[in-house]
Amino acid sequence: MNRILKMCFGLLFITTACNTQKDNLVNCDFDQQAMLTNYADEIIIPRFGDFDLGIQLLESSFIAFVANPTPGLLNEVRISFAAAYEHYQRCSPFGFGPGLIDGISFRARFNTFPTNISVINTNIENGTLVSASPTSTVGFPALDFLLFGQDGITDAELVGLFTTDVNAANRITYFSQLVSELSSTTSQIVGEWISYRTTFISNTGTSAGSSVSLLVNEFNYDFETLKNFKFKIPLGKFNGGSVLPETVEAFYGGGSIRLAKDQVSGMKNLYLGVGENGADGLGLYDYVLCVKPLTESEEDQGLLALADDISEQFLEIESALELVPDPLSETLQINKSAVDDAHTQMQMAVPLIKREMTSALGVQISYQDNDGD
Amino acid sequence: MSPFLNNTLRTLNCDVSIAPLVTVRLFFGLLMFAGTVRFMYNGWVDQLYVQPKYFFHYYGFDWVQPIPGQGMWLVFIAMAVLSLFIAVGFLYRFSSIIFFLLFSYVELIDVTNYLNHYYFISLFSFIMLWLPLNKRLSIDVLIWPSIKRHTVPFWMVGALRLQLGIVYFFAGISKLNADWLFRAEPLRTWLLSFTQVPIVGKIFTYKLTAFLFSWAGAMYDLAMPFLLSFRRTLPFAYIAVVGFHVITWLMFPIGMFPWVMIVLTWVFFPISFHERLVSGIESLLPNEKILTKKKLWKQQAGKPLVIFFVLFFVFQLIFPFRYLAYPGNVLWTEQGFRFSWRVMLVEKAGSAQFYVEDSETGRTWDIHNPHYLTAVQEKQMSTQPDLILQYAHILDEEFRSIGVRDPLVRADVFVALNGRRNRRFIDPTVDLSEIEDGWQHKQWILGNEAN
Repeated sequence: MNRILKMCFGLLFITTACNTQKDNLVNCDFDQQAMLTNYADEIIIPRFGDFDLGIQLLESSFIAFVANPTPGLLNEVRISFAAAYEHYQRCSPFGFGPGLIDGISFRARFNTFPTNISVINTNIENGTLVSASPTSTVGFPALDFLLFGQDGITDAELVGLFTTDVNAANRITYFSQLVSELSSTTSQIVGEWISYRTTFISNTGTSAGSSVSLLVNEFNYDFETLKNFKFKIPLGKFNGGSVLPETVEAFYGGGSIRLAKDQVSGMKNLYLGVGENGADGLGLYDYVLCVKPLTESEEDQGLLALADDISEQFLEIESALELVPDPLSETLQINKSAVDDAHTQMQMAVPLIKREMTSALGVQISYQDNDGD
Repeated sequence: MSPFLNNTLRTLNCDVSIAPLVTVRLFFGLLMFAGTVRFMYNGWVDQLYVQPKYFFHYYGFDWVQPIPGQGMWLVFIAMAVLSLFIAVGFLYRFSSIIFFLLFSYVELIDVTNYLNHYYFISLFSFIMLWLPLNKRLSIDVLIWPSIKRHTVPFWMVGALRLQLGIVYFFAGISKLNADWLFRAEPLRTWLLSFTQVPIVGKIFTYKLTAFLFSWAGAMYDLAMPFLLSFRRTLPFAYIAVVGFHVITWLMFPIGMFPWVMIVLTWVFFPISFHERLVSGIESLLPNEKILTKKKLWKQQAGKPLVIFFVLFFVFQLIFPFRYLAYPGNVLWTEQGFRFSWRVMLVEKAGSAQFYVEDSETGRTWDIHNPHYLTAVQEKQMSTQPDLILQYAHILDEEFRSIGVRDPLVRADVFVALNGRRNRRFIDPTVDLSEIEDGWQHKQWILGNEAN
């Protein structure tokens, strides 16, 4: 009886809802194609373009250094390296489509850290080709080691490794191969995006393999690498709490936090749909707000809409990172709690972006397909 | 005895053609063959039974373990072969018993694979194994012609109908909750995935569509057992069955289930339909003529079997209501959730960060779930309290084995239910390693009052 009453009440509710609240009628009518166009034209393609340019500058600065190996020109290489690495951070969530190299994200060979310096040294001694070397000995982390060396080494000594050392020639070759691997992969990605753009924009929907699904999955995966590799592991959270300073990103050059900030701001703008020119276009933020607007009861509880909660959380992460000075490897030892706080803010974003957002958008985050009921 | 009861009993015992049972046997076997082959083809044997390091057990069934190595493939190959045996009625009693046991064994291995329709297949194949489905149009009859029968008591057909009816009706009852009826969730969320579909996509941008789907779905489920039972409504009801299941098959990843329901619902068709179908097939077979000695079904199994079936169905009518014994919303707590035909009722997104602390040294580990669980296991575990508890015990044992004498296992879990904002799901201060699972209410589940 109670149920019948409820059903009648429900019918009444629906009819009144139809009559009074017009905006309540619309579930969500979102232009996915416009969002994907904004992503391709204002974010992904420009970012890869800048990244490609950054690598080219790195390449030419190294050629200049080899021609005239002075500490001053070494510093020029370091500067162009830092700039290229920053550009990389803004591209790292795009390991799909052209970003897949032989089925694996380009991230694997660009930024696997900590890098294995003993294997790098052996590679150099033996003249092993970079293309034949494992991911833990290539990419930015390997360049970071070669450009900055281990603690205590002077710039003059480092220049010596490229000039007077017995393995100097091999070292130059290894370095150039490292850079050219990055350069050829990046220009390949840039080239493929020209034709992939059309596929990307027209591949609407949210099922597995759709552009939204690829984007959201990579966004989450990239966020996990930020949280886990850049913070959780160095904080010792996987090994019972003793910090592991040597596992941070960019350990030798010491730019870990600067790079993390680049990654976070890149992800934030990606989420908001803010293009490289600063214009605010359609992004995941607008999509999430459309499918999950703030309900009256949520407003009464003082809650934010999910979309706003996510952008707020990015701001929280950014302000927590402001309190963590570089080099991270030292801050971990003298002010661990600041690092811990930044990590906590990242941890708090996980339920929002990995679960609530994907569930609201209807994107499957698990990579296994299976039946449901 | 009242005349009504008397009449009912007489109807249930009256002889009808065995043909409906034969049709069910044939098509059930073929469907199970297709389902098992599809399962193997999709690589799920490996994904669900070979790759996982740990398995989540049903309460009281932790002794059910997968065959190690590639052994589970043998089970699935055996099920595929037995399905064909069932279809052609070869060594039927043996085949149907072993099929039921293997199928149920596979389902009992890991809770995270639980699907209502797997439960349905277990129940249906259980009923089937008691009935003489092989006594016509079967290899068994070719081998042992004397077993051939033309009739069975009506209750045997009725039992199969009742089982299907229970699925529909209880699926309907479970839809009578506030989220489904008054918020149109989870359909509102799910239907948004279809707004980009050409032409029809626009209709999913309206909330009304979600409400119409929700209410129509609830009414469909509740009415179907009755509409299928009357000759006059049967044709319309069956058209609705086909339409409904085809739509759900198109929209949601529900595998074989729509086809199973579309085909097994034939059991509601008039006996004469089945008789024509079965004799039609018989007339195509050359040997059939020499075997047409008409015999009546003798009440061999008689009363004990009937009483057994009555108890079996009474259990099914009561068990789904056990959730009433627990406080809180069953969709949130999932206490008494499974085995109750709560089909497509929840969209839950959970995120679970576990922490293990060495109580002697204070050292603490953050747990990286993919290190222990598959993606599907992690997803299921993160929203279901009993699985959260099992995972805590898995971690407890893991850390004991690496020398932590008394690990404290805690979890910070956030769950978003049916389109609401996420909330903390369980008490993050509780040491889960000290808690044993059981039928009692789990005090450490936090409420979702503010929702």
